[in-house]
Amino acid sequence: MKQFLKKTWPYVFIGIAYFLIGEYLLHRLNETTSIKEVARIQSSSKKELYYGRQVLGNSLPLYKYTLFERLQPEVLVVGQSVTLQFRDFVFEPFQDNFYNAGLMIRNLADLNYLADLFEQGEIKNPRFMLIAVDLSFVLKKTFLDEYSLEFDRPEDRALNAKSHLQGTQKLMLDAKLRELPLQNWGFGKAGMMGRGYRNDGSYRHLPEIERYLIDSTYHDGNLIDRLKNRQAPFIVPFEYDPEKAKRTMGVLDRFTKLGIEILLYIPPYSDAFFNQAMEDTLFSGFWKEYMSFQQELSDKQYAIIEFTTPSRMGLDDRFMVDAEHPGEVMSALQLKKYCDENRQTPSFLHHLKFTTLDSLLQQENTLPISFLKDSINLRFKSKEK
Amino acid sequence: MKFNSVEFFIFLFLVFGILWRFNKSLKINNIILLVASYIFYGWWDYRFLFLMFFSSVVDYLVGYYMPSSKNRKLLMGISLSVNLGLLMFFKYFNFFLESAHDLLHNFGYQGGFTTLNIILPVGISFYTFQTLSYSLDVYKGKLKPQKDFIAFLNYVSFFPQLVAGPIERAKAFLPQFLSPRVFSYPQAVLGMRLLLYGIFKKMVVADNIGLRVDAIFAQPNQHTGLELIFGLSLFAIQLYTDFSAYTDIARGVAKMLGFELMRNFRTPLFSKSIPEFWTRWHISLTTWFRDYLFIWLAGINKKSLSWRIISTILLFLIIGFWHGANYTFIVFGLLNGLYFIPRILSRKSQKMRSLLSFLNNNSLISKPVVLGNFLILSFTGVLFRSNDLSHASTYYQAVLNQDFFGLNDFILAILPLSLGFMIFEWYNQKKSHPFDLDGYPTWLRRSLYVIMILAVFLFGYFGTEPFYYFQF
Repeated sequence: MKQFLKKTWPYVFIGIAYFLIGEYLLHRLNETTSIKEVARIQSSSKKELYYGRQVLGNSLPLYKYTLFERLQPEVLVVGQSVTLQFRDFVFEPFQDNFYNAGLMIRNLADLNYLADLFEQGEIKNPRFMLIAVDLSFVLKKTFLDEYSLEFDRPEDRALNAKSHLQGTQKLMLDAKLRELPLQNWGFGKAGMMGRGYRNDGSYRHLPEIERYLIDSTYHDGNLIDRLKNRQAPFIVPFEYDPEKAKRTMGVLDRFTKLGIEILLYIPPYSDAFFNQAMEDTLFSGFWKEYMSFQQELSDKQYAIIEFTTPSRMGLDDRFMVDAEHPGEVMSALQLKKYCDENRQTPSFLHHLKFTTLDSLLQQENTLPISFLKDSINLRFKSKEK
Repeated sequence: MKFNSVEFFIFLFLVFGILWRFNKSLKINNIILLVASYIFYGWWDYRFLFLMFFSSVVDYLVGYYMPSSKNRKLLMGISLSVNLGLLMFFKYFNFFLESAHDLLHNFGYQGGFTTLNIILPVGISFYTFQTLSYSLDVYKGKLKPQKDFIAFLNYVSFFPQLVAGPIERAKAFLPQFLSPRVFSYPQAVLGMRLLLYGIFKKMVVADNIGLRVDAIFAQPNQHTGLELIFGLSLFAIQLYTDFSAYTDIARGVAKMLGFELMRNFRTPLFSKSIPEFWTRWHISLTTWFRDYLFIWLAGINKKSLSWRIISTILLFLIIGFWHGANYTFIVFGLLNGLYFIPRILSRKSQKMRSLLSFLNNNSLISKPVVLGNFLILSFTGVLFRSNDLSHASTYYQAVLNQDFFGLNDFILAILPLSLGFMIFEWYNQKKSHPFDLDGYPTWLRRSLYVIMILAVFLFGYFGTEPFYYFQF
């Protein structure tokens, strides 16, 4: 036995040494802060902090759920990535009781689970919810339906040994990743680089803003190519599912019965994309039915920010981050426009002031793609001047 | 607990240490081993433990009372019903329900139906076959019943081979729990070597190939004909490296703990025919079916050639279905059964015998035959990999309909590794194991170990890819 241990020890040592080097590097890059700890700090700090791990991965639904559970806000935003630009100050004076849980709910089953949580009293009911009902909620086939917040919540990769080995592998093979972040606050290198989730849950698109400052034209993000190639989310059969639409309405009813005021949000597309997409029979066929669904929601007296494009609002495509993601300015303007036109329902909207938003809109630093409000953006403000 | 997880290595380190530290009493040693095996299995879901324990108790009692019982058939029937019943319920219940519904639907039935939310217990197909073989051997009088309950529980639950085999026979395996184990340095070294080779095969070769295979099978219509052919060939290599890696690790760990497990693979991808392939692939399963089903089935009418063909096809339909509750596996089994027809015909046809002998033995033609056989296996393997028959059909059609030429970089990047691996196995196929390094200079052996360890860390896949055969 001794001989065996003596002979095998050097090989075991190689593994241990590799692991320890990796742990040192990951720790140095702030990648190892657990989501629980991130949530504790982000929820109690007034300082701007961005959560994002470039090496270990974000375990996103878990991160969002942890903060949502901790905050249990009065104003809640849920939906896919299209909702991520709704910022806290847009819901003034509820900015301190707000959370954008975008990407926590990935499908109808998740939304149903959220209703369960409220009904069972596990989470305090919010007063108001903005729910993005994007096309995946009525699509017959979408990969998003494979996710499950209830049964398949991702584990925190900072607490998973195998993820650490995966992260170490990335660090060993890509020297650039090993560079220390310039700032010494935030979480993980991604946060330092400017991409990341703010304390209020909204997402900061720094690279897109940087690109905009150099070349202020609209970028499609290859969505039209994805449509042409029938890639996600346009995977065949790209069909409207009336059963699913019915179930979606059933879940929305559950929120209403709980006394939660809801405002539905049909996300916009850029004009460039939408005009081209409507020439595609696969898309236009589906779209007709999707718009009927929107009408049906409206007929059932749901408050709804209807589908639009920048030009219909008197804006242009530069207000979009890409073909399917509205920028923060556009998202705010959509909400404000809805309030100006329909302030009577939901009654919650009576309370919204838009003082900060109005003042930001007046500022010359505000760009179509961003308010440039984050302090980390100050260097861009000076560049702009 | 998966073999390719950090938890497993910590677990193995502890079990190895504790087991050899307390090796003075066989009974204590067996109890430690049993606890370890139950922890290992319960790591997935503790509820599965009750099922395995129940299955073990039934077969222990059946075996125990069998020699003295006047109603041996009844006891055998109990064992068969319990084991196959569990398998049917957990693995096939929803499949039969859905199939019945589809059938009724074709006859105009419009009603709905509800499937049960059944979780398939990991490894159930393997350990039920193992316990069943024990009862069958006792029933046939080939084996004396085991009185030592702990040893029997260990035989069913031995953690290195519990989840994906090899499916061990009681005659060879049970006695290993009854005689004192002595630490053997050469055995332990060989075990470590198999463990390293298995981990390398799984994490570096199989999983990296698997990423490409997944991408190709996800959207066959987005790939050229050449990419699709590479896709199906790569899948054959992935399946072999993945499954044989599991066996290597199982055998390696068993050796480290003082046990011997049977060899489950003999470089099957280098077979010259499909019948030969099945003597080199998943040997513990094919011999199980041969001994407990085929010999009886074919024996019903030994003289008839057509019955031989029918029984072979039936056998492969069952083998296909063993893999999973899906029509793809049934068609996969059917095709494999059909591939046996030339060999069965050769029993009575001199011409056929000469042709097969020529193909197998002619030195000029035998290597292209290996390649051709590999392609047949790979094309048939599409059924094994596809989600359903329509997916498989889309894949086959795409091979013919898409533009043929063109290979993207993502797929191209894996070819040197795949080819390098296959060449390594080709040159080592005659050895007792492809990673048998006896005879290599010490410096070369040690360098290979270090290179492989570093390759696992630097190029291994650390995602959540389980071993492919876990789903069965």
